Amino acid sequence: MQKDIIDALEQLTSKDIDYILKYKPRAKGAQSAQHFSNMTIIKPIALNVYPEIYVDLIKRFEHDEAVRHLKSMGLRVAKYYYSTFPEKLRKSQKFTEIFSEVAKTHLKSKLVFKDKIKENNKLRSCTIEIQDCFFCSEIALFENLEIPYCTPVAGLYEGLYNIKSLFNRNLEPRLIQVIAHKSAESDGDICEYKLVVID
Amino acid sequence: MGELGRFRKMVGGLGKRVYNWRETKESMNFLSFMYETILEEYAGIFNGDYEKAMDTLINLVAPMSAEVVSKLLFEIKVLGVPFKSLITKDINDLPYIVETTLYAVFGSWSKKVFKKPVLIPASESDQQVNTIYIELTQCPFCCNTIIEPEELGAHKYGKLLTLTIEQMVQAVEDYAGNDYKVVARELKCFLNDDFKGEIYLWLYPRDNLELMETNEYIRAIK
Repeated sequence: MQKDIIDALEQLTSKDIDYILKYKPRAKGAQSAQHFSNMTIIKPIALNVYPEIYVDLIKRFEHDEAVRHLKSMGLRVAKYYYSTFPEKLRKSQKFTEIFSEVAKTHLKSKLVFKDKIKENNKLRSCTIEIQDCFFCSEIALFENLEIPYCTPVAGLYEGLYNIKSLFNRNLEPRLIQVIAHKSAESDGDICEYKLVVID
Repeated sequence: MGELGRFRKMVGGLGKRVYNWRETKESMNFLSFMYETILEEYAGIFNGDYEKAMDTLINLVAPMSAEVVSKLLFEIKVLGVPFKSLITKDINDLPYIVETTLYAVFGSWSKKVFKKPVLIPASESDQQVNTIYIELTQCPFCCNTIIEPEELGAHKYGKLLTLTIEQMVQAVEDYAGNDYKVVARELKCFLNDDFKGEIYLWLYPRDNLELMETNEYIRAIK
């Protein structure tokens, strides 16, 4: 079972690395995506797309399949991020910094790593608490969500780490999984993800 | 030209800056990443059919987008001045209103991305209706994608931006009491190897909608 998960993650991540290495943007005259790294857009307009997509996917698919689709959106965003900022792939960073830098710079969120469980001084799992989530903060939230609203963010963090790890081949742990546990239910509330070391 | 005097334009100029400064903002990079990933996700659901993916995306998003745009235009007050006080019935003021709204949404970057919107009067327009022309000198939406434009079928990549601007102008004209149906299309796009982006907004009088049938762009582009 564990080996199947590792194989699947490796396969998926290797495809992403391949994409990043071959990446050439199609619209040459549009300027590079990096050129727009300081550009912002007001949140009400930026996020008016996602609520309908979330609702459509959870109506269209069974629970696990809907989670897979939502998470894969985030995994793909991690791939686009490294394609746009390839220097971040090689940048030497501490474990938590890999997540925190993107959270702070691009998502305007704060991450807190809690409940770390270690074996032989090696991380096995932890909880990530997110303040000011990209998707959840300042949004009229749905109630009684079976699937956390910000599940794509779990995919994003998982992809950010695994792509970097398999690209550099020297990170410890080697592969992780991030599972969205809970989305913020009111203003000021936090979102919560579980990070599990797979390999 | 136009009903808006210097003072109201000055208030609008200040208001758009204050509004953009105060409002919570998100990274444009991540928005364009999200846009592409949603398109990819739906293309995957429809066996690689990007045109159908875009159709579905637009159908899902359009009603919500119209609501958000209306809220933005009609409920927002900056320094006690409602944004809607800038709206007039005079079509000559429309380029200024569009420019101000784009600034409120994108901040100072709007000046780098968009040239000043231009009104082409009906008498000078190929489509014989008042037309607003917006030129993009760079594009934060299609800059990162590797999707081939042919895969989008009759859509252009910036459909969502075009739709948002279309809804914005429709809301403005409805509020002003002008009986127009606003139709926008993106005629040029960097993804199609054009050297600039071009969005046209045609304002069709509702009592003469048959004019739309002669517009080849409306037929060719979704």
